[in-house]
Amino acid sequence: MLTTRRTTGVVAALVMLGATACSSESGAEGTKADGTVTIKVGQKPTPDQAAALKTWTDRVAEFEKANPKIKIEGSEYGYDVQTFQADLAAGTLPTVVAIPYTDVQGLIERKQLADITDVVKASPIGSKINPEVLKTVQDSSGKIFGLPVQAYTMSLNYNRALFKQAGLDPDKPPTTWEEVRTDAKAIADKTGKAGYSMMTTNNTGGWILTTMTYTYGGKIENVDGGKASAAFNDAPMKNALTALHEMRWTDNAMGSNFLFNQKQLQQEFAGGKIGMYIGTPGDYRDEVTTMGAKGEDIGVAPLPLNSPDGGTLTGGAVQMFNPKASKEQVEAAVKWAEFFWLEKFTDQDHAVTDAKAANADKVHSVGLPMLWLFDEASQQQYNAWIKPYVNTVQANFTPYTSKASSLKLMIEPPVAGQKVYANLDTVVQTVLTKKDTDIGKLLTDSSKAVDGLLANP
Amino acid sequence: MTRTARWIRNGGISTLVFLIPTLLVFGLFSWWPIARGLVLAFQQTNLVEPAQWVGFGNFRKVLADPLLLTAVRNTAWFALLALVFGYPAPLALAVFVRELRRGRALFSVLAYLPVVLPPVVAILLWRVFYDASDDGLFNTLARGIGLGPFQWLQDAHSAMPSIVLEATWANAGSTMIIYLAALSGVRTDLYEAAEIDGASIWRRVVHVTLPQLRTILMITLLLQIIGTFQVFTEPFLFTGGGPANATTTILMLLYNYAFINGDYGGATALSVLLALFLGLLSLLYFRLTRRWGTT
Amino acid sequence: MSDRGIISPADRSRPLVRWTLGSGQVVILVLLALAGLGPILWLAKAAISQPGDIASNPLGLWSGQPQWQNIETAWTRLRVGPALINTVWIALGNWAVSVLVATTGGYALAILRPGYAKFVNGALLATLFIPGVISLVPLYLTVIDVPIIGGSLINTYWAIWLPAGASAFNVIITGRFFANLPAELFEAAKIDGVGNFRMFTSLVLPLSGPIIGVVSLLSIIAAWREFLWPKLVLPDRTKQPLSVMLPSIRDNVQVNLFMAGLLISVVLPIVIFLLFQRYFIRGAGLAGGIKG
Repeated sequence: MLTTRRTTGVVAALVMLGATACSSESGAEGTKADGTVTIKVGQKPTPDQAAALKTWTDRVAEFEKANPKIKIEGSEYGYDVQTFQADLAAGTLPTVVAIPYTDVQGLIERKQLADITDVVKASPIGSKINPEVLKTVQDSSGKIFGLPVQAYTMSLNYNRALFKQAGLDPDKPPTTWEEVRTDAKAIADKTGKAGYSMMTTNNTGGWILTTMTYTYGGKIENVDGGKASAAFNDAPMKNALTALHEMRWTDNAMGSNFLFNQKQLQQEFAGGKIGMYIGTPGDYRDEVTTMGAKGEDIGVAPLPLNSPDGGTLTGGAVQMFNPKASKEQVEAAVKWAEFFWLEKFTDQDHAVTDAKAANADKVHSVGLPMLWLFDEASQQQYNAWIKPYVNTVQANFTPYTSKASSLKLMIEPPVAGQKVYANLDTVVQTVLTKKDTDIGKLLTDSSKAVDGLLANP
Repeated sequence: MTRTARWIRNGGISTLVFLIPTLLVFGLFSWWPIARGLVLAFQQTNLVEPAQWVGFGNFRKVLADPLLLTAVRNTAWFALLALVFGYPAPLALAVFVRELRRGRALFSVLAYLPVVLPPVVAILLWRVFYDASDDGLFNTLARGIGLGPFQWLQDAHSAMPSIVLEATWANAGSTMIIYLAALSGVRTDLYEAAEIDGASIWRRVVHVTLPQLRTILMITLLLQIIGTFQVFTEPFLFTGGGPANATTTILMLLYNYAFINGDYGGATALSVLLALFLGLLSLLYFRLTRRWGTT
Repeated sequence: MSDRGIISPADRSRPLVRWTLGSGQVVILVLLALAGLGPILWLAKAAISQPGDIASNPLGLWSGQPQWQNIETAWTRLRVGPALINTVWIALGNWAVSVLVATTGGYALAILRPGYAKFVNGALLATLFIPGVISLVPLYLTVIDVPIIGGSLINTYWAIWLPAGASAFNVIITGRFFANLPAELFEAAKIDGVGNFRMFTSLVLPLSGPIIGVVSLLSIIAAWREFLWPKLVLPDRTKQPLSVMLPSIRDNVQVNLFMAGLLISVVLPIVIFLLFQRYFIRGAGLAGGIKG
């Protein structure tokens, strides 16, 4: 009896100790006695992006002035597929940082995202987000685990100057994969540059192969009652890979570099060494502002479609909130994320200052195509606000913008997306670096491997 | 007087104080992780929920991973290539430099320079050299002597040899210096005797020099193999393991298990397997160094 | 005796041997210069070139004005400067912890030799058989949540310094060095009533210059070369050393600026090497054969 009581006492003491330790910890890190909340926000621009850093600093000052009880601490942390799991495990993620749509569902499942349902529903901007878009960050019961701040549909980006040099019409980009192949060959033959190029590393190979497969009307995963399995071992992906194999080995139209992540490919494209590639319309920004490409040379077209069932992959960025942050911190962080990432679309003053600043230091590109996050009326309003400051050649986006609203939109593989992409990286790299690849066998093997990892994600 | 008091008077406490840094640093960052690794290999944890015992489950999973075979094969291929590229050249160079009467230091310094460059810098630089387009540095050089263009890192067959070539360049200098040091211990009276017996210069190298270097040659061989099985930075920065897993090494696989997939149990199980293998090699190595030390 | 090698003076007077040796010497010298100096000189040139020149004409000698501002841009805007300072800071900490652990540990185990020394020695030796990389994952998990002390060392330099001190090799060679010091010195000191601390500071340390030199060199070089470990434990970009920071900016910057960054990061190692080349080469010959 005595021992029991003593044990209970010790346990109770330990629990209390633990509780006080926890609360004092979060108090020390997050909320001060006077109610000031400190949050750490990711994606602070690095000093080499001087203009972006200035905008960021100004915005922080503005935000802190409007919210004297919130203190912002900047962190240059940005999502990196190579280290994200480790950073998650180590607990070093900022309070709020952007991650790709690809990761969101898996993180929700493993309870690694903070629930922000109430905060978003109560906020004036958050509640305006298009319900279709919001679905990407919701679990099956409708709870919200992130704030979508950017969305796009994939596009075929091309170098208009190389098109002209190859005798092609830069206003008529290819609309099927057969046309892509002919144009790529023409560019390679006439200019000696890569006609078509493709991302292949750090899971981008799987990402782009998925995009291609969708345009052939294919699928990556079957999800049936919570059980997922590989669904790509059939004609669409086979056709996509055959097209790649022919461009690479028959036509020799893909240049000589086959190990590209997104940035590396953008660098090559900006350097004028690539005719066409599949990417996002937003790639334009880096290419023109930091990589030295000329805006008038870049054309953006919708994806080529080879099937009436073909769809266009969508993607984007979601601000995630650290599950270890306190309730006050999450509230403050959502406020910040809405202020910094969304208000420039919904608030006239904010939109105008933003566009004006971007226009003035010529480093930002105003007027890039994007998938609108809110309702259509607000989009037209926004376009009117920023119109005077647009500094991109809008005509070069026409092939894309004129088709954008009629596209069938597709989402990324919902279960273990990054792991599936990693597996498909190998498939793409094999086709591009081994001439004698047996595509059928390659897909059967990969499909088996993906089934294995989906069975035990 | 009690034993404790005697212990204190004989400086027992101050001895312990001197040992504190060692015990603390090794305890926390060497012994404890090793012990923890042995436990973790039999557990499954994502660090969020409590760990679960899974018996040999992690080992079964790792051994069933088709990539393990690829990684072992790649690593062995790396080791073999490294031996072919990197084993004879430093030895020949050291024997030659040893025979020079002037300028030994200049030769040593030049050979050692690549070793001084931080590996990451050397790799990033060579990545530029390996540009597979016609304008790449190595392809321009190759064209100068009527060869190429080569695909270097961009081809599943040539990627690994390209990586090994850089690694050899980066490390040959230090191996050469080791041989040079060992050569200074070769008994020169044996050369005299061989010469009197009418042995040619070449035969003196084969029958006098090399036999005397036997142990150190074995040691560098083992060291090289042990080092090879821990190769990470080169494939990680050159190719990310590609193209088509052609350069995925065991350590890259381990990294992917732990830090990309968050499967710490699987990663430590793989560590334990690798440790058993390398431990055997190390044991061999220590027996050799002991012999070397006594002769 | 030491002057003769494989080739005897008699051999050297033969024209064929002389000619082979002479021409071989020239050929090898040229090849070594190409391999050893070539990349560094190319890097120096690329660092002050225009971006287009590197891509289109990599072997061109000089084309146009040297772009000295690349160096400055890399130093400030790409933050190669601060990363260099981080690297130096990591090296200094590694050095301090390594020397502290090696000298105190070596002294206690080799000179003071308490009864339990053989257990500690055994435990140290055992770690030599287990290559460092094996405990990579558990060590990472340890650093995330350190036992006894509690808390995480992630994003602090202690996460690099402390594990760097756990080098059994350093402790053992230092101990061996101490054990080889003349034993009479210690006995005389003991008779004079000198305590363990004074014996360490006034007798052992002043005599251990050479071994401290070796441990210092090894630990500093290791700090400069390390990539994976600092990458794992320093996710904060403002704290990263050059080896971690350079690969992460590679994809974002123009190639000439990047080359300028690489150049900045090799200058210090090369200068130090040229200044202390004899120690490097002696150290490599000595330690290279023993260290795993």
